[in-house]
Amino acid sequence: MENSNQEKLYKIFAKVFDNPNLIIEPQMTANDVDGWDSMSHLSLIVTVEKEFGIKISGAEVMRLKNVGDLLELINNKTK
Amino acid sequence: MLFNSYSFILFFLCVVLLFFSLPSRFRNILLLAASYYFYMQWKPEYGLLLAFSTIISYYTAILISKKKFEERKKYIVACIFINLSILFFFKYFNFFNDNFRSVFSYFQLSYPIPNILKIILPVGISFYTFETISYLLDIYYERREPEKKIITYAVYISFFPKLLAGPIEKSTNLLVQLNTVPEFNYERIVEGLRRMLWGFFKKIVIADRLSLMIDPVYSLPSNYSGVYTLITCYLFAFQIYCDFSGYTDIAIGASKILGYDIVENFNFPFISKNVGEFWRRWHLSLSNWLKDYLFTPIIFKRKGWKNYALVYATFITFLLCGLWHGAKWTFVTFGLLQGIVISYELMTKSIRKKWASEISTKLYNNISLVLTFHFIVFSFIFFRADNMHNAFEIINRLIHFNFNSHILSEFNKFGMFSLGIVFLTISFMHFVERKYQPSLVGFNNNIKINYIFNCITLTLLIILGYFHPQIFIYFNF
Repeated sequence: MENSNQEKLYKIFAKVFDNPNLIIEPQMTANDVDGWDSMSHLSLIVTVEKEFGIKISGAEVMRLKNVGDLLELINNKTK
Repeated sequence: MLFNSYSFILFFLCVVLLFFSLPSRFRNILLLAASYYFYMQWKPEYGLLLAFSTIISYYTAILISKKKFEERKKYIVACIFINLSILFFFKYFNFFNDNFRSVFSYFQLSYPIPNILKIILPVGISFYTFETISYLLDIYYERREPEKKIITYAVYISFFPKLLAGPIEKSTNLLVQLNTVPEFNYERIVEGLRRMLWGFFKKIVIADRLSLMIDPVYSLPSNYSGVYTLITCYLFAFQIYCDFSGYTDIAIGASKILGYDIVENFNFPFISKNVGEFWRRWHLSLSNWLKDYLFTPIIFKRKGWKNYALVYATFITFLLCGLWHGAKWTFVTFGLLQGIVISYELMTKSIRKKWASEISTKLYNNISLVLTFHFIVFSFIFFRADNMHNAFEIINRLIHFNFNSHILSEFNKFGMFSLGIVFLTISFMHFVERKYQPSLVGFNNNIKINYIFNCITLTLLIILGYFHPQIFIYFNF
């Protein structure tokens, strides 16, 4: 389940950033990805909510430090 | 005590000598005492406000770190409310009171609340209030653990090089460094001195000389022609840059000498190709603060609105950015102008990308650069003007621009010598900063070049400096 969530999340990243070759690692932050600005961050979270069928609150988004935190949040919400 | 005064130089010399002669465990105590001494030179009572704000945020942070995330909100809201109330009282009370009174009198209703006389804005309050809020929110969002030592935390809030006008330091940078022991390092000291010299040059030679030309026009715009006013508007962009970035250079240099790296605040703002980019290059520490603690929380609170959430957050952020600078309608207008243009940029991002590919990208970028610079120069009219009437008077002068007037004679009114000095010194600054980057100004491995560069800067400072200490513009915010 957790592996499939990871795979699905990385596909969302490739779609949002319009780059099929985008390499994503859990420790990566917005500073490590070209074009990861406020607009794409909003688009990323909205797409994650839609694709995984979950709700992420504003406070939860603010606590995310990196991609790994987002994946952990998704795993907890889809258990 | 102004940075550009002899008393500051003497004070700083004493602090540096004591700092490196004392055992490391006493250094933060020295920095705290020096910072409060420095601050209380302005008005001793306001030292109490600074201490109050420091103490409540220190204890609130410790308290909330022991609570579960769900229980933290009420404590953080209360503490931020107290800090913002102090800021509101000193900075905005009379402004809002006056405006409410105007609304009431428009509807012919009586308004009982009088203005509070003689409120003097505590210098630096907008800067340190934002630092305490960022620290509290970092604890709230579990980005860091609370600082255990109150002395270290108090130094982080009151550290004198950045206390009066920033940069607005995040706790994840300076506070971490204050827990280390800086060693005496000759190269760092030379680098810091060089950076301070560069800041003094920008402030005393360029900004203060420009203020002599610009201030009379903004005091009585009706006395000046369109050409004269237009030149003044362009010059103000350089005055505010040299004044504020000069202050920042001195703050960064002084911190460096003591062994600390505080954040950069500027990154060639006038080469921005859009207004959004300008704010990622101008007063970076404020822009980053607004992005992290206001803009981003708003867009995720309203994420259901999709792209409209961005527009909404942009307007709120820039409205408050304008008000942060001062309680005046001119600053509100300045902020709203930025909000309108950045919203346009956000909504047209993909279509503008298409335009750029249709005509040559280089040409598109150059046009964008010129347009952005002119928008910034225009919006600075509201930033500089004392009131809205004054701002519209300036704009009126620009609209009734007389192409038939003798441009050369208008230039002559500034004094050709003064204009020549301004042109040469701005060109010298631009050349040096573009070549060496602001953070490495004059820092070159070639000792001879360093020596020549420092001699030129020092000579220009001595010959062309305007040695009647002028307050830094951002001290008013």
